[in-house]
Amino acid sequence: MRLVLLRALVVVILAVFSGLAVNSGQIFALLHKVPVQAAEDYAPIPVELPFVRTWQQEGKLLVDARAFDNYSAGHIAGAYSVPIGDQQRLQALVDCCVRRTEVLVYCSSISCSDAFTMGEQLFVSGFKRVYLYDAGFTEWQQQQPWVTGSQRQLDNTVKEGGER
Amino acid sequence: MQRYGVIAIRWVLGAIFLYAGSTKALDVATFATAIGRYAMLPELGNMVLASTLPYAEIYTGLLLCSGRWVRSAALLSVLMYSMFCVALLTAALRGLSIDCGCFGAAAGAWSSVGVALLRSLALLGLSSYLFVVLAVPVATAKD
Repeated sequence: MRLVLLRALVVVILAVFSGLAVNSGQIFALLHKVPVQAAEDYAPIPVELPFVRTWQQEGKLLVDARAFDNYSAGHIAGAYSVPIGDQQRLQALVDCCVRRTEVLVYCSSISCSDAFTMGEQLFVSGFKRVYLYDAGFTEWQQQQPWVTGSQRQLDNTVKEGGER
Repeated sequence: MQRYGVIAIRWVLGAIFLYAGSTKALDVATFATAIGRYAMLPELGNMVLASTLPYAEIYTGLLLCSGRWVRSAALLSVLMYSMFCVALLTAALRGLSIDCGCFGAAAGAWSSVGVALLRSLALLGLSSYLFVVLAVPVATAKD
Protein backbone atom coordinates (compact mmCIF):
# COMPACT_ATOMS: atom_id res chain seq x y z
CA MET A 1 0.00 0.00 0.00
CA ARG A 2 2.89 2.31 0.79
CA LEU A 3 4.33 1.80 -2.68
CA VAL A 4 0.92 2.47 -4.23
CA LEU A 5 0.65 5.79 -2.37
CA LEU A 6 4.21 6.73 -3.25
CA ARG A 7 3.64 6.08 -6.94
CA ALA A 8 0.38 8.03 -6.89
CA LEU A 9 2.24 10.91 -5.26
CA VAL A 10 4.89 10.78 -7.99
CA VAL A 11 2.19 11.04 -10.67
CA VAL A 12 0.55 13.99 -8.88
CA ILE A 13 3.88 15.84 -8.55
CA LEU A 14 4.68 15.15 -12.20
CA ALA A 15 1.23 16.44 -13.24
CA VAL A 16 1.61 19.61 -11.16
CA PHE A 17 5.06 20.34 -12.60
CA SER A 18 3.93 19.63 -16.17
CA GLY A 19 0.81 21.77 -15.86
CA LEU A 20 2.58 24.69 -14.23
CA ALA A 21 5.49 24.55 -16.69
CA VAL A 22 3.30 24.43 -19.79
CA ASN A 23 0.88 27.11 -18.57
CA SER A 24 3.28 29.32 -16.62
CA GLY A 25 2.68 32.20 -19.07
CA GLN A 26 -1.07 32.26 -18.46
CA ILE A 27 -0.67 31.93 -14.68
CA PHE A 28 1.93 34.72 -14.66
CA ALA A 29 -0.37 36.95 -16.73
CA LEU A 30 -3.21 36.29 -14.30
CA LEU A 31 -1.01 37.21 -11.34
CA HIS A 32 -0.17 40.54 -12.94
CA LYS A 33 -3.62 41.28 -14.35
CA VAL A 34 -5.15 44.59 -13.36
CA PRO A 35 -8.70 43.96 -12.13
CA VAL A 36 -11.33 45.30 -14.50
CA GLN A 37 -13.57 47.96 -12.97
CA ALA A 38 -17.17 48.43 -14.08
CA ALA A 39 -18.02 51.70 -15.81
CA GLU A 40 -21.07 52.02 -13.51
CA ASP A 41 -18.70 52.52 -10.58
CA TYR A 42 -16.98 55.45 -12.27
CA ALA A 43 -17.21 58.50 -10.01
CA PRO A 44 -14.59 61.10 -10.93
CA ILE A 45 -13.57 63.63 -8.31
CA PRO A 46 -13.88 67.26 -9.50
CA VAL A 47 -10.92 69.44 -8.53
CA GLU A 48 -10.04 73.13 -8.70
CA LEU A 49 -6.98 75.04 -9.80
CA PRO A 50 -5.03 74.97 -6.47
CA PHE A 51 -5.33 71.19 -6.34
CA VAL A 52 -4.13 70.90 -9.94
CA ARG A 53 -1.22 73.22 -9.23
CA THR A 54 -0.08 71.08 -6.27
CA TRP A 55 -0.65 67.91 -8.28
CA GLN A 56 1.48 69.22 -11.13
CA GLN A 57 4.25 70.43 -8.83
CA GLU A 58 4.42 66.99 -7.21
CA GLY A 59 4.96 65.45 -10.64
CA LYS A 60 1.89 63.23 -10.46
CA LEU A 61 0.14 61.75 -13.49
CA LEU A 62 -1.62 64.37 -15.66
CA VAL A 63 -3.53 63.55 -18.84
CA ASP A 64 -4.55 66.01 -21.53
CA ALA A 65 -7.63 64.63 -23.32
CA ARG A 66 -7.74 67.28 -26.05
CA ALA A 67 -6.75 66.76 -29.68
CA PHE A 68 -3.01 66.52 -30.22
CA ASP A 69 -2.91 69.83 -32.16
CA ASN A 70 -4.35 71.67 -29.16
CA TYR A 71 -1.90 69.89 -26.89
CA SER A 72 0.98 70.94 -29.14
CA ALA A 73 -0.18 74.54 -29.01
CA GLY A 74 -0.02 74.54 -25.22
CA HIS A 75 -0.68 72.33 -22.23
CA ILE A 76 -0.05 71.95 -18.52
CA ALA A 77 3.61 71.17 -17.98
CA GLY A 78 4.21 67.46 -17.48
CA ALA A 79 0.87 66.36 -18.95
CA TYR A 80 0.66 63.38 -21.28
CA SER A 81 -1.35 63.74 -24.47
CA VAL A 82 -4.04 61.05 -24.79
CA PRO A 83 -6.70 62.36 -27.19
CA ILE A 84 -10.14 60.76 -27.13
CA GLY A 85 -10.29 57.85 -29.58
CA ASP A 86 -6.53 57.29 -29.68
CA GLN A 87 -6.46 53.73 -28.39
CA GLN A 88 -2.73 53.37 -28.97
CA ARG A 89 -1.86 56.25 -26.65
CA LEU A 90 -4.48 55.12 -24.13
CA GLN A 91 -2.97 51.65 -24.02
CA ALA A 92 0.54 53.11 -23.77
CA LEU A 93 -0.54 55.19 -20.78
CA VAL A 94 -2.19 52.20 -19.11
CA ASP A 95 0.88 50.04 -19.72
CA CYS A 96 3.28 52.59 -18.33
CA CYS A 97 1.36 54.13 -15.50
CA VAL A 98 -1.63 52.10 -14.27
CA ARG A 99 0.27 51.07 -11.15
CA ARG A 100 0.30 54.72 -10.08
CA THR A 101 -3.48 54.22 -9.55
CA GLU A 102 -4.35 57.95 -9.53
CA VAL A 103 -4.70 60.24 -12.53
CA LEU A 104 -5.85 63.79 -13.14
CA VAL A 105 -7.54 64.48 -16.49
CA TYR A 106 -8.43 67.73 -18.16
CA CYS A 107 -9.60 69.03 -21.54
CA SER A 108 -10.36 72.56 -22.80
CA SER A 109 -12.95 73.93 -20.41
CA ILE A 110 -16.09 73.14 -18.46
CA SER A 111 -18.01 72.88 -21.73
CA CYS A 112 -16.01 69.93 -23.02
CA SER A 113 -16.77 66.34 -22.00
CA ASP A 114 -13.58 64.71 -23.27
CA ALA A 115 -11.93 64.72 -19.84
CA PHE A 116 -14.94 62.94 -18.32
CA THR A 117 -14.97 60.35 -21.11
CA MET A 118 -11.21 59.84 -20.96
CA GLY A 119 -11.43 59.51 -17.17
CA GLU A 120 -14.02 56.77 -17.59
CA GLN A 121 -11.80 54.90 -20.03
CA LEU A 122 -8.86 55.17 -17.64
CA PHE A 123 -11.03 53.98 -14.74
CA VAL A 124 -12.25 50.95 -16.67
CA SER A 125 -8.63 50.24 -17.66
CA GLY A 126 -7.60 50.02 -14.02
CA PHE A 127 -6.93 53.47 -12.54
CA LYS A 128 -8.50 53.48 -9.10
CA ARG A 129 -9.06 57.21 -8.64
CA VAL A 130 -9.71 59.75 -11.37
CA TYR A 131 -9.62 63.50 -10.72
CA LEU A 132 -11.33 65.84 -13.19
CA TYR A 133 -10.14 69.38 -13.73
CA ASP A 134 -13.43 70.66 -15.13
CA ALA A 135 -12.30 74.25 -15.80
CA GLY A 136 -9.61 72.76 -18.00
CA PHE A 137 -6.74 74.30 -19.88
CA THR A 138 -8.59 77.59 -20.54
CA GLU A 139 -8.60 78.48 -16.84
CA TRP A 140 -5.07 77.15 -16.36
CA GLN A 141 -3.78 79.36 -19.16
CA GLN A 142 -5.60 82.42 -17.78
CA GLN A 143 -4.14 81.90 -14.32
CA GLN A 144 -0.58 81.09 -15.36
CA PRO A 145 -0.08 81.68 -19.07
CA TRP A 146 3.68 81.25 -18.83
CA VAL A 147 3.47 77.56 -17.96
CA THR A 148 2.89 75.25 -20.89
CA GLY A 149 5.80 72.85 -20.59
CA SER A 150 7.44 70.53 -23.07
CA GLN A 151 5.62 67.61 -24.66
CA ARG A 152 5.62 64.20 -23.05
CA GLN A 153 5.52 61.10 -25.20
CA LEU A 154 4.06 57.73 -24.36
CA ASP A 155 5.38 55.92 -27.38
CA ASN A 156 7.54 56.44 -30.43
CA THR A 157 4.70 57.47 -32.73
CA VAL A 158 5.06 61.14 -31.83
CA LYS A 159 7.97 62.77 -33.59
CA GLU A 160 7.77 66.35 -32.41
CA GLY A 161 10.70 66.54 -30.01
CA GLY A 162 8.99 65.72 -26.72
CA GLU A 163 10.63 64.35 -23.62
CA ARG A 164 10.04 60.87 -22.33
CA MET B 1 -13.30 -13.84 -16.57
CA GLN B 2 -12.40 -11.32 -13.89
CA ARG B 3 -9.10 -10.69 -15.63
CA TYR B 4 -10.81 -9.56 -18.82
CA GLY B 5 -13.21 -7.48 -16.81
CA VAL B 6 -10.30 -5.68 -15.14
CA ILE B 7 -8.61 -5.08 -18.50
CA ALA B 8 -11.86 -3.71 -19.95
CA ILE B 9 -12.36 -1.36 -16.99
CA ARG B 10 -8.75 -0.20 -17.23
CA TRP B 11 -9.17 0.60 -20.92
CA VAL B 12 -12.52 2.33 -20.47
CA LEU B 13 -11.26 4.51 -17.61
CA GLY B 14 -7.92 5.11 -19.34
CA ALA B 15 -9.53 6.16 -22.61
CA ILE B 16 -11.93 8.53 -20.84
CA PHE B 17 -9.06 10.09 -18.86
CA LEU B 18 -6.91 10.48 -21.98
CA TYR B 19 -9.75 12.09 -23.95
CA ALA B 20 -10.89 14.37 -21.11
CA GLY B 21 -7.33 15.34 -20.15
CA SER B 22 -6.14 16.15 -23.65
CA THR B 23 -9.21 18.26 -24.58
CA LYS B 24 -8.77 20.27 -21.37
CA ALA B 25 -5.00 20.60 -21.73
CA LEU B 26 -5.45 22.05 -25.22
CA ASP B 27 -7.72 24.85 -23.96
CA VAL B 28 -6.80 25.65 -20.38
CA ALA B 29 -8.47 29.08 -20.41
CA THR B 30 -11.87 27.58 -21.28
CA PHE B 31 -11.45 24.90 -18.64
CA ALA B 32 -10.53 27.55 -16.04
CA THR B 33 -13.73 29.41 -16.94
CA ALA B 34 -15.71 26.18 -16.55
CA ILE B 35 -14.19 25.61 -13.07
CA GLY B 36 -14.96 29.24 -12.23
CA ARG B 37 -18.68 28.59 -12.82
CA TYR B 38 -18.68 26.30 -9.78
CA ALA B 39 -17.74 29.37 -7.69
CA MET B 40 -15.60 27.31 -5.32
CA LEU B 41 -12.11 28.74 -5.84
CA PRO B 42 -10.54 32.17 -6.43
CA GLU B 43 -9.56 33.04 -10.02
CA LEU B 44 -5.93 32.03 -9.53
CA GLY B 45 -7.02 28.72 -7.96
CA ASN B 46 -9.20 28.02 -11.00
CA MET B 47 -6.26 28.63 -13.33
CA VAL B 48 -3.81 26.49 -11.32
CA LEU B 49 -6.32 23.63 -11.11
CA ALA B 50 -7.16 23.98 -14.82
CA SER B 51 -3.43 23.84 -15.62
CA THR B 52 -2.57 20.78 -13.56
CA LEU B 53 -5.69 18.56 -13.50
CA PRO B 54 -5.58 17.71 -17.25
CA TYR B 55 -2.03 16.35 -16.85
CA ALA B 56 -3.05 14.27 -13.84
CA GLU B 57 -5.83 12.83 -16.02
CA ILE B 58 -3.49 12.19 -18.97
CA TYR B 59 -0.85 10.43 -16.82
CA THR B 60 -3.50 8.38 -15.03
CA GLY B 61 -5.00 7.44 -18.40
CA LEU B 62 -1.61 6.41 -19.76
CA LEU B 63 -0.88 4.28 -16.70
CA LEU B 64 -4.28 2.57 -16.85
CA CYS B 65 -3.94 1.80 -20.56
CA SER B 66 -0.32 0.67 -20.35
CA GLY B 67 -0.90 -1.56 -17.32
CA ARG B 68 1.90 -0.02 -15.26
CA TRP B 69 1.38 1.21 -11.69
CA VAL B 70 -2.27 0.28 -12.21
CA ARG B 71 -3.27 0.30 -8.55
CA SER B 72 -1.77 3.76 -8.06
CA ALA B 73 -3.60 4.93 -11.17
CA ALA B 74 -6.82 3.38 -9.84
CA LEU B 75 -6.31 5.23 -6.55
CA LEU B 76 -5.83 8.52 -8.40
CA SER B 77 -8.92 7.73 -10.43
CA VAL B 78 -10.93 7.19 -7.23
CA LEU B 79 -9.62 10.47 -5.79
CA MET B 80 -10.35 12.47 -8.95
CA TYR B 81 -13.86 11.07 -9.43
CA SER B 82 -14.59 11.64 -5.72
CA MET B 83 -13.52 15.27 -6.19
CA PHE B 84 -15.67 15.60 -9.34
CA CYS B 85 -18.68 14.08 -7.54
CA VAL B 86 -18.34 16.48 -4.57
CA ALA B 87 -18.03 19.50 -6.91
CA LEU B 88 -21.01 18.38 -9.02
CA LEU B 89 -23.09 17.56 -5.95
CA THR B 90 -22.50 21.00 -4.42
CA ALA B 91 -23.34 22.59 -7.79
CA ALA B 92 -26.57 20.58 -7.95
CA LEU B 93 -27.47 21.49 -4.34
CA ARG B 94 -26.85 25.18 -5.04
CA GLY B 95 -29.10 24.93 -8.08
CA LEU B 96 -26.34 25.93 -10.51
CA SER B 97 -27.38 25.38 -14.10
CA ILE B 98 -23.94 25.08 -15.65
CA ASP B 99 -22.06 22.96 -18.12
CA CYS B 100 -19.90 20.56 -16.09
CA GLY B 101 -16.73 21.29 -18.08
CA CYS B 102 -15.82 17.60 -17.84
CA PHE B 103 -14.42 17.43 -21.35
CA GLY B 104 -13.20 20.97 -21.81
CA ALA B 105 -14.45 22.88 -24.83
CA ALA B 106 -15.63 19.64 -26.46
CA ALA B 107 -18.48 19.25 -23.95
CA GLY B 108 -22.02 19.61 -25.22
CA ALA B 109 -25.45 19.91 -23.67
CA TRP B 110 -25.18 16.32 -22.48
CA SER B 111 -22.61 17.44 -19.88
CA SER B 112 -25.16 19.13 -17.64
CA VAL B 113 -24.60 18.79 -13.88
CA GLY B 114 -27.13 15.99 -13.37
CA VAL B 115 -25.86 13.83 -16.23
CA ALA B 116 -22.23 14.51 -15.25
CA LEU B 117 -22.93 13.55 -11.63
CA LEU B 118 -24.47 10.22 -12.65
CA ARG B 119 -21.57 9.52 -15.01
CA SER B 120 -18.98 10.44 -12.37
CA LEU B 121 -20.68 8.20 -9.80
CA ALA B 122 -20.62 5.31 -12.26
CA LEU B 123 -16.94 5.88 -13.06
CA LEU B 124 -16.16 6.28 -9.36
CA GLY B 125 -17.76 2.88 -8.83
CA LEU B 126 -15.62 1.33 -11.59
CA SER B 127 -12.45 2.97 -10.22
CA SER B 128 -13.19 1.76 -6.70
CA TYR B 129 -13.84 -1.76 -7.97
CA LEU B 130 -10.55 -1.68 -9.89
CA PHE B 131 -8.65 -0.44 -6.83
CA VAL B 132 -10.14 -3.12 -4.57
CA VAL B 133 -9.89 -6.01 -7.00
CA LEU B 134 -6.24 -5.22 -7.76
CA ALA B 135 -5.40 -5.73 -4.08
CA VAL B 136 -5.70 -9.44 -4.91
CA PRO B 137 -3.21 -10.51 -7.61
CA VAL B 138 -5.28 -11.12 -10.73
CA ALA B 139 -3.20 -14.13 -11.72
CA THR B 140 -4.36 -16.00 -8.61
CA ALA B 141 -7.98 -14.98 -8.85
CA LYS B 142 -10.30 -17.73 -10.11
CA ASP B 143 -12.25 -16.83 -13.23
